[in-house]
Amino acid sequence: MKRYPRYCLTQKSAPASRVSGVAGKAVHLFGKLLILCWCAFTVALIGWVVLASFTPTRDIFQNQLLADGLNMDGYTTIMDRYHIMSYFFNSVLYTVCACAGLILFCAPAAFVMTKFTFRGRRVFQTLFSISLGLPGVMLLAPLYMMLVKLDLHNFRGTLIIVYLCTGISATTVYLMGFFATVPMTIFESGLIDGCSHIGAFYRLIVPLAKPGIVTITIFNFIGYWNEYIWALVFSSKQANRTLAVALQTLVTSMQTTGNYQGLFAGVVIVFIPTVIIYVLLSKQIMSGATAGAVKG
Amino acid sequence: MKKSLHRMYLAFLSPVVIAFLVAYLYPVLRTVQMSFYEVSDISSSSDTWKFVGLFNYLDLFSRQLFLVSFRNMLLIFLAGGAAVFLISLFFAWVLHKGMFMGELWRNLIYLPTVITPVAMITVWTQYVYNNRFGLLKTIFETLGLDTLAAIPWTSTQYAFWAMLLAYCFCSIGGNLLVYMAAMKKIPDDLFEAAFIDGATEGKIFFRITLPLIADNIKTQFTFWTIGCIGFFLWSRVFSVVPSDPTTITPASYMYDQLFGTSISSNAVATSGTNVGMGAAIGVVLCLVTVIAMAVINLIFPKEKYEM
Repeated sequence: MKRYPRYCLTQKSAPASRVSGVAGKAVHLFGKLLILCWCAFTVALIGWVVLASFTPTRDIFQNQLLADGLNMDGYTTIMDRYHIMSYFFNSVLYTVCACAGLILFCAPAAFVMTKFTFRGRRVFQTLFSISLGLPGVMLLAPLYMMLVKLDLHNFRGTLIIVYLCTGISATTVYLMGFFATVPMTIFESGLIDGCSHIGAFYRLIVPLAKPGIVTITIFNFIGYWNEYIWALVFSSKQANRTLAVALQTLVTSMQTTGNYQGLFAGVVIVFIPTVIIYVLLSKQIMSGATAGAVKG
Repeated sequence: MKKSLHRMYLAFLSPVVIAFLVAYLYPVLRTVQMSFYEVSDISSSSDTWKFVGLFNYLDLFSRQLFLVSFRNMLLIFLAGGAAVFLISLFFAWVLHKGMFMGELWRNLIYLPTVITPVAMITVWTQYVYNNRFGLLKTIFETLGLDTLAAIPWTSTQYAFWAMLLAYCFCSIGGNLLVYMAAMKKIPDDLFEAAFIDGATEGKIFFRITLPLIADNIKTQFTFWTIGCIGFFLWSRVFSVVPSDPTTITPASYMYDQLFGTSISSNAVATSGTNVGMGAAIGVVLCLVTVIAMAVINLIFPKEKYEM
């Protein structure tokens, strides 16, 4: 049997992965080491915080994690005394409603804006793209004044309304890129078979567009879970606060009482949902985060 | 048929258009209008406003704190930008060339991006920079660098750079991901041909890889610019002192002018706010965005390469 060099057998990846020149190889090696250090730092960072949340504060100060085994005091304190779970459910409520609502409103609009020509289409597209570049604080004052005037600023649903209204441009622009790749023949055949336009969209296009809808929903979920400015302004009543805003108050009060275990337990509770989503759906997130690159 | 089409236009477009008008167009116009008025309190009704022309803008540029915040923003943009783009391009190149378990490392570098910024900031300020049990202290002590270990990272002297370091650490993952995907799209024959011709790795990178991913770099750079102009969260949460001049940025200065410096907006401070000036900051930031976009379009090459 004829023997081929190894890169011939794995031809897809080989030519790109060959590094040219001695200097190139040295730099590559250095880069690999740097990446390893970087990742070790990340793991140490997150791992330490998770372990610290199970360690009494006095051992944290000695930097002896888990010296007395698993200690749940941090979690019980923030749950019983600071009611962290009610903020957790607030966050879940706001995030889920915002994600669902955005798809409900933006998917049809994005579809119409990419697949149909009508007067004003270019204007819409340009306006939506421009609004992506707008600093969020620019919208803050008038929206707040408007909601105060409507006496809605202490209402639990307000934050969802704000999320829906301010989120439309990003979701629509993303979905517009996605709908551009969905073929229209199936939609037209549906029309010929007697579907209405609206019916054909929900029955034929939405199933085709599922991958794009799922991806943008994952990103919206992470984005709204992590959201801070709007939550700070529009969930001012303590009972309506989101987890991210509550965490900040928690951190301040934990610092004054010197309860570092509780502080780190709070941090863990805040980041666990997004990290779980990331671990479970990393493939989808990776392809979604690079959608711009692939579209090119 | 025609009727059904029009019904679809109406049903599909109207919610989004209404939301856009209410949440984007109206606030922007209103903010521009407010920037010409003296509005002391955010809950004051519009008949108490007093027209003052350009006074808010003149006042704004004479305030030391605003100029400091502007300088901070520029520093984040330039120093942070240089670090983020160089490191993420370098890492993307290394991982593109192949590395044992490359996917795992990529996922780990991206991980900080998905973690709630407030939690990430807490981790950095309370753990990494902690002067009793902090990660940096431990690392430097193990390496025997006692002077570095003794640095009080969160003190006013170092807080800005500490914040920038943490911010960049969390920003690299997203860029890395995009560049890796873009590099993967470059056909292997190009690298093959260059390799056979004996091009050095530096030449291959600057003559082949970089021009072919320039479009992606431009997009990422645009995002970075917008992110720096709206830089708010890190500046606000990182520093315990409200409107701390070491970490303040225009966006957080604007917030302070609108809502006061207390953490919760529930207790809207009646003193110290200057809503008209806050609006003026918003308008200035928008103008900066427009100028920045124009400059970005100018400096990045227009020609497209066929792959």
